[in-house]
Amino acid sequence: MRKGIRGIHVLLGASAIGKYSVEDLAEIAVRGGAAAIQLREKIMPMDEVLPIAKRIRKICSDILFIVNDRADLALLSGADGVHLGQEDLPIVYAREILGEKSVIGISCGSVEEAIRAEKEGAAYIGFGHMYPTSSKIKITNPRTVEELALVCSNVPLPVIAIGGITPENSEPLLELPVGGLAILSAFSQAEDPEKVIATLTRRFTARQ
Amino acid sequence: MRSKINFRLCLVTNRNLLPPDTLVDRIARLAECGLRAVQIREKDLSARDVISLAEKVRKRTTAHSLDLFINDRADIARAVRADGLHIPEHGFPVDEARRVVAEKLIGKSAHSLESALKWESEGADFITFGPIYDTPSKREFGKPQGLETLREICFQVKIPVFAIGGMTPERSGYCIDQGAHGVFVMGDLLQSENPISRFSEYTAILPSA
Repeated sequence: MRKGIRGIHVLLGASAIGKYSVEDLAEIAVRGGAAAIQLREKIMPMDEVLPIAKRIRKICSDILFIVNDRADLALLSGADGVHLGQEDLPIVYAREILGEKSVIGISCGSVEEAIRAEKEGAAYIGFGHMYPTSSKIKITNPRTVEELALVCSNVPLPVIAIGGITPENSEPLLELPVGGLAILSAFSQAEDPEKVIATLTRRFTARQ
Repeated sequence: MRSKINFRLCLVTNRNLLPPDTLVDRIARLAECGLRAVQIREKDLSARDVISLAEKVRKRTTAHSLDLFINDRADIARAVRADGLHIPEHGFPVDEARRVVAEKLIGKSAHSLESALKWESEGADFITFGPIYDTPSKREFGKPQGLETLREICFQVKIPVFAIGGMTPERSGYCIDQGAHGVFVMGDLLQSENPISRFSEYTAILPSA
């Protein structure tokens, strides 16, 4: 299988959720056709996160493995790249550490930020949040579908919509030329995460 | 080639102990008075803000040989061309961090003999051991380690051991007597009403480089 950015991105923390370990969830994501797994862990210390990141890397050897925020963790776990927010490490430094071929995604909340990220060499744009979400305390209102459409038409990079996305509310987003959808709790906290990822993968593939 | 440790005292930052926007000034003034190492440890700052703080410190201290350490983040240490990385006890293993920062100095915090020996075997350039004395910022780690334990650590560990936790000039002398190479200081220099004279009390007691 060829690694590509376009498709469903599954965001995972490093902790187990309910009956599933993070490794279980990674395996389910791969089986369900995810394009990428992004490890986003803000609390667990690095001596615990690093072995987990290395195990996820092995599990998703055929798809993209992206680490949120920490280029050092990305390098040490053998990830394909890093996903950075506007206040995180500037792209130039992440590239210096991870190499020219690394996949660097940037979270953007406006067309201006997306255009700047493209100029700076981002491989994809994360845009959102699209819907209200509990996974992060948001100080801003959700972005609108119109804003997402504007970013897609102004930036030639894959635009991955993120934030509160579920199979149920994904349709209006998939009508746009998005590069993919990122899912968090709709996947990891689902009764049947395999069904969630499989459904979204099918819908995303069907529209192409 | 690996850098050398040429300091006996490292200032650990916490900008929240100072009036807003005075940290860089404080570091610069201490560097003028002979401070040779500083560790940027601002856990609540974004990566961008840590980078900008580190760059300001660099700019203000170019005339002095101040070693700049970054806490925890090997990627930021590399980004700002820091002289070293300081890893918390539950941060990356030293040999892993070495893959990110190469020849930079690597120090790592130890709170037990077992960890100290492990960090040494992983290739740390030095360890910090503490808290030796009671300090508000480290009470979560339990009772202070005391001078006896410090002496045992310094005896067992071959690389330089820096004492940390509740430091004062007088206490830094006791730590040196137990075999410590030097001390890490935060509150005592940041909260002092006269940090310059306080710093000179340290230099009078600590061995010269």
